[in-house]
Order: sequence, then C-alpha cells, then structure tokens
Amino acid sequence: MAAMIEAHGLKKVFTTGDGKRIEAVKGVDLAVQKGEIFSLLGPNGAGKTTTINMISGLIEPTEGDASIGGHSITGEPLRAKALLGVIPQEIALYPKLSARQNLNFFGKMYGLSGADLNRRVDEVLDFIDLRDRQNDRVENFSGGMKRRVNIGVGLLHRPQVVYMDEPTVGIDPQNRRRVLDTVFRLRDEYNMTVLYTTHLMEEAQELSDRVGIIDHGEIIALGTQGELTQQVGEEDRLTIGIDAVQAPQQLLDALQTQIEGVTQAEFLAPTLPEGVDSEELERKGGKIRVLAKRGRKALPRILNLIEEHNVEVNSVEVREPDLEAVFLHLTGRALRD
Amino acid sequence: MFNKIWAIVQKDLYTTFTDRNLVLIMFAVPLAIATIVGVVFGGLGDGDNLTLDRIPVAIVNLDEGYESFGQQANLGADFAALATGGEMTSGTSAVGSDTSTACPLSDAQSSGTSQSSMTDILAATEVATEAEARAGVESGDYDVAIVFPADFSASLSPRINEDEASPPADPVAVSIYANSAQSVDGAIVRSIVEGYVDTIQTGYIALETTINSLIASNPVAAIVGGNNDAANAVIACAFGDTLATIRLDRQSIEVQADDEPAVTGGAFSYILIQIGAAQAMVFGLFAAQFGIISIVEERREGTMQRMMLSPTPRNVIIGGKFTATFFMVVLQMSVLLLALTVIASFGAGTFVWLWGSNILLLVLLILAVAIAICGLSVILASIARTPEQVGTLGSVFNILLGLVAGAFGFPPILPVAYLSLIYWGVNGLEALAIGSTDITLNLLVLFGQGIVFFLLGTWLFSRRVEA
Repeated sequence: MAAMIEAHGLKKVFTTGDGKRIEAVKGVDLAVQKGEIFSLLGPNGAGKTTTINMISGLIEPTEGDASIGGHSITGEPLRAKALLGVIPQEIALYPKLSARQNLNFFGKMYGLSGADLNRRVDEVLDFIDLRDRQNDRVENFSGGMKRRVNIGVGLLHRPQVVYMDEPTVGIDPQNRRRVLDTVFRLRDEYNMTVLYTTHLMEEAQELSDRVGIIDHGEIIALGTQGELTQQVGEEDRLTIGIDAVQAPQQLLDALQTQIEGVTQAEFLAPTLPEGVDSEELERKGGKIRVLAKRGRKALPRILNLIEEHNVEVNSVEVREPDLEAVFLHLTGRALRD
Repeated sequence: MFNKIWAIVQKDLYTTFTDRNLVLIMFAVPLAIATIVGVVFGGLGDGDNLTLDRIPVAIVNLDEGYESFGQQANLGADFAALATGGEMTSGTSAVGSDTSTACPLSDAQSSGTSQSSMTDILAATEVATEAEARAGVESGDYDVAIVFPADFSASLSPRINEDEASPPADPVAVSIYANSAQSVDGAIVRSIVEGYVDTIQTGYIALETTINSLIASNPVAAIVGGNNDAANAVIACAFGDTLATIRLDRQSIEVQADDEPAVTGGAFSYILIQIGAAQAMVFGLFAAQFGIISIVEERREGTMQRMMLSPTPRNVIIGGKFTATFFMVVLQMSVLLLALTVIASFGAGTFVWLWGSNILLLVLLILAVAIAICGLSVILASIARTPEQVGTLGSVFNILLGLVAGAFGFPPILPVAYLSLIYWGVNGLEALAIGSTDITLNLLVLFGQGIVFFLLGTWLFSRRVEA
C-alpha cells in the first residue's frame, strides 16, 4: 500500500540578503502510513517546519518532491492540499470574526459551501466543544479556546492527513492534555494520518507510532520509540547538579574507569544570559552527565566518588533510555540545547 | 474560484467596516477637511464667488483677414487683441466711416446676460507659429493653444449681394490644443472661442439681412456702401465692441455679475469639488493602505499562509484581496462624492449635484481611480514586510502623489503630476463637474496605471511569498 505521505530528497536552500546560502533542509526522505501518528522531533531551528512547509506546499522545495495521498505537491498541489488539514503553531484566525465566521470562511477556502458547509461547521463546533460560544468574536476567547478553534479549522474539510505544528506551545497543561487527546481521537475515531512536529520529547513519546528525529536539516533517526532507544542501548542517563562551575577532569575520568557500567561522563557548564555576573554563575553551578547501564544501581557509588573529589552535589536526576537520550547519543547535544 | 474570491471580499469588507476607527478615517476625516476648507475659503451660500486663476493661452493668428464692402477685418487678430487687452483692428472703414454709431446688436448681446472681459479669464500670449504654441502646451507654459487659420475671417465673411444659389464658404476651423490633463481649461477656452464665433456669426446674419434688404430697396446705396449711415452702423456693430462680450453659457460655468466665473452652487461648491475630489483620492489611497496592511497582517498572523495551504491558487487569493480593496475604495469614493454633494446642497440651501450630468462617465472614472489605487496597493504590499512599513511607505507615497497632483491647495507640479493617479482623478472629476465629457485620457491613464501596477505587484508579491 502506498504511503499517505511521502517525501523524496526534499532539500531547501535559502539565500540571505547578503547572498549567503543556507541549506535549511538537506535531502529528507520520509514515508508515513495511513492512520499513523508520525512525529518529527528536533530542536528549534532543526528544519522541522521547513520540511513540513515543503510537504504541505507552502514553499517549493529546491530539490526533491513530496506527495500526499499519491498527489505530488509540486505537480498536483491543489489535489494534494485538499487532502491536508493544517493546524499551525500560532493561532491563525481572524480575531474580529466569530468562531463560526472563521470556520465558515476557511471552509469556503476548502471548497465547502451551502448546507454541507453548515453541517461541517456544526460538527466541528461540537468536536471542539465550542457550540455555545460559536457567535463570540475570537478576540474575546481564552488562549485555550482559540487553540481549539485553530484546530477546528484544520479539520473542517475532513482531511485524510492532518499536520500539527507544535500545537501545544504556550498553553496550559489542561489545554495541552486536551490537544493531545484530540490527536488520538483523530487517529482512532477518524482514521486520519497525523504528522506532528514538536521539540518536546515527552509529547513525541506519548503520541507517536513512529518518530523521525531531525537535526541540522537531516533526519538522523527514524523508527518506533523502541527501535530508536535500542540505538543507545540500555543506558540510563544521570544528571547530577554540582556547586562548582567546573568539574575536575580526574573526576570525570574516574567515573568512567572506576565504576562499572558507566560509558560516558561529561561536564555541562552552566549557561546564563549575557551580562549576568560570575557570582550568579557560581550560585547556579554546573552539571555532570553520566550514561550508565543500570544507572540507579550505580548511583550511590557515583555520588561517593564525586564527594571524594570535594565536589558538593546539589541535585540528582535519573532517566531511563528515551528519545532525549537518543538525540543526545546521536548529536552529543541535549534536545533543549 | 469566484466563490473563494467572493468569500475573501466579504470577509475583508466585514472586518473593515466593523472597525469604527477605520470607518472614521475613511469617511469622516476627508469630509471634514473638504468642508472646513470649503467654508474657510469659499464661504457658504449660492451667491459667493471664487476668482479662478487666469488660463495661460497661446494664440497663433495665421488669419489673413479680408476686405469686403469697404470694411477690413482680421477676426483672428481681433480675438488676440481682446484676449491680450490690445487694440482691435476690424471695423475700420476703408473709406473712413464713423463707427461710433449706436449699435443695436451690442444692446441685444448685453441685455439680460452676465458678461466678462476675456482678459479676466485668459492670460493670453501671441506666438508666431503653431509649432511654438504646441511646444508651449507640451511643456506646460500654456494650458491651451488656439490657432486661427489663414481663412478664418474669409470663411466667416458675410454674403452680401451674392447670388443665393452660390455655395456657402467652408466652415471655419479653429484649432484648439489643450493638454488633456488640462481638460477643464480646454473646455473653458473652447467655450470662449465658440462664443466668439457665434457672436460674429450672429452679427453677420444681421448684417447680411440688413445690407441685402438695403440693396434690394436701394441698389445705388449698395454700390456706394460705406456712405450709407444705416449700413455703416450695422457694419460697425458687426466688427465693433460687441465681439468683446463673450458668453460662456456653453458650459455650466456662468459669468457672474461682478465678472468672476463660478461654479453652480457658489465658491463653496467649487472648493468642495476641488478639495473634496482630492481628499477622496488621497483617502482612497489610505483606504487601500488598510487593504495592504490587512495583507501584511494576514501574513504576520498566519492566516495568509493558512489560505495558501488550502486548495486555493495564489492568484485567487491575491485576486480576492485586490477585489476587496477595490470594492472598499469604490464604496468609499462613491459615499464621499455623494456626501460632498449633500454638504454642497446644505451650503447652497438648495440641491446641488456637483459631479456633472454624465453618470456613466462618473462611474467609469471612479472605477478607473479605484483600479489604479488598488494596483498601487498590490505593489506596496509586495514591497512592505510589516504593517509599520506599510504605514510609513504608504503615507509617504500618498502624500507625495497628492502633493505633486496639487491635492493640498498648491498647483500641480508638472510634468511630474502626470505620474500621479490623484492628478488624473481630480482632473477628471473637475472636468465632469463643469459638464465636460472629455476624460478619455484620464480613463486610459488610470486604467493603464492600474493594470501595470497590478501585474508588477503580483509578480513581486509571488516572489516574496516564495522567499
């Protein structure tokens, strides 16, 4: 069966005002099956949005092509776009129009009209639970309500593919939960294919059937969560906060050589905004990150070793293998760096 | 496709006209400016007058004149003399007759009509050649050039004692060159020349009738001609001061009792036409600016991208935005022009329709202006990246276009003003207001500008979206 979304060799090069060429996406290959929730995970500036903008036809690829439901986005853009519902990261609504007027307008942009449009608008208002506020201006809505209308617009024409671009950015936990539940409903109740971009590992882990990790314009890993974590083995990740702005190299060496299971130990220097004085830096301290098999078991010995080197421990965090670890393993950087 | 364009138009008009601040700026401000300026400089009431600037005119007199029945005449030279304040040559008797005899024609011309000296209206200069006059008009030194042909006097000469079966002389053909951008001045000058020719012809008809009846009753007197007092009196009238009484009743402009031309409805109405038309254009540009800002804002707010992610071609989206702005400008200008008429009527105490009788041309002109304005707005939308840039760039654009076009009370800066759509729009409305229908060039320029601006703007806009 053909994939619902396919991308082959997608590349995008931007030229800046001073003539500099920036390769934002360096040849992405992707295939997402029908009914699948696929997350594109990567830090800010990794190329997620540019990739999706090419797949959805908002910008033309410099090289390569993508298709939605078998329709090339460059050859048959209108057919491809008709299958796609977009839920952008920012609230893309007309604040002076009511929820219903917004839905009506965008419904017309998708070719809906008359009774069909009215019925779909009613269904969507029910889906986003805003029927009772349908005639209120969007500018008077709370952030969460705006987010729901924003989602509703993307679902109005019953798309086969829904693209959601970091839809939980800047919303409270309750509304975030509602958004995530909506994603599951789209797949489970409507058999929609969901393409979800996020820089939040937790969301990708919770939602995704499969995950693509993107960094510097390239997909560096792709698969189910289990397949990806296998890439980093069974190592736990221990993050130990210390009161020093620098860790002795002997300590890092000792952690790797003297404690069984430790495969990597590194110091993460504290970072503060420019202009903050050194005292503040010292107060914040740095972190030692340790990758270790059976990390919880090794933790007491690790703490002892640190104490022996006259370094005071402020905090300890132990994480089992996850997508963050995968990203760290593949790039040497944390997802949030 | 049209459903989508219409959806964009409806949405944009709704969001615009539900914004009270926008409505205030679009309608109340230009009306207030025009009314205040009208009251300050024109006063209220029907009888107020306004002195118009004299029209710079080049006169080329190629007329070779003629001599008939003992009289010499050069009607082209006479016109030039009347226009420049010089001395007339016609009516001088070849045999020394007295031309001071009472003139019944002169009385007839004067009675019950308002009159004006040509020098009050024209700032005339005689130039030697037609080419020189044309060049003067092209360069803006003169608004109008009048060329009297060599046979001007001869073609108008009275047919005295001629066989009635003989063919009449060829019609007189006076050439009037007016830069189409000065169609109002051209219309006034044409009216003056027509009045001049009419007056001559009226005099000659009376002359022909009188002389021919004299000849019929006294063939001897006809032979001696100039010695007949009655005939001399009539001839003197035909070539004398009567020619100086030019009636300007071919146009809606009427000559007032105190010799100053004014528009129906008084000076207040005249200023409303000038300032109101200019303000309608300038604020039409500002209305279009709101349209542009909405495009840039939609890009910033993401709704433009959302439209572009729908199965809607880009040209439909741009077309929808353009059409919405077009409707907005047409609506705004129509309401403003109607409102100015209402204000003029209040000022005059009676109904005054300011914009001439040719409604079709008025509608065409409004459409042409709206297209030009919208074309310009598409270019601006393609250049500006933020609403703030639109505000700054747009305001500079609008004020510059208004300044060079004379929208703020100063004379237009020619030839730069020819680039300004405001100039062509105001000029066209003024022409319609005085009853002229010669606004073809105005329409062509405005439609042309609109199409060129739109194509250029669309191209630039598409490049921007791609980037």
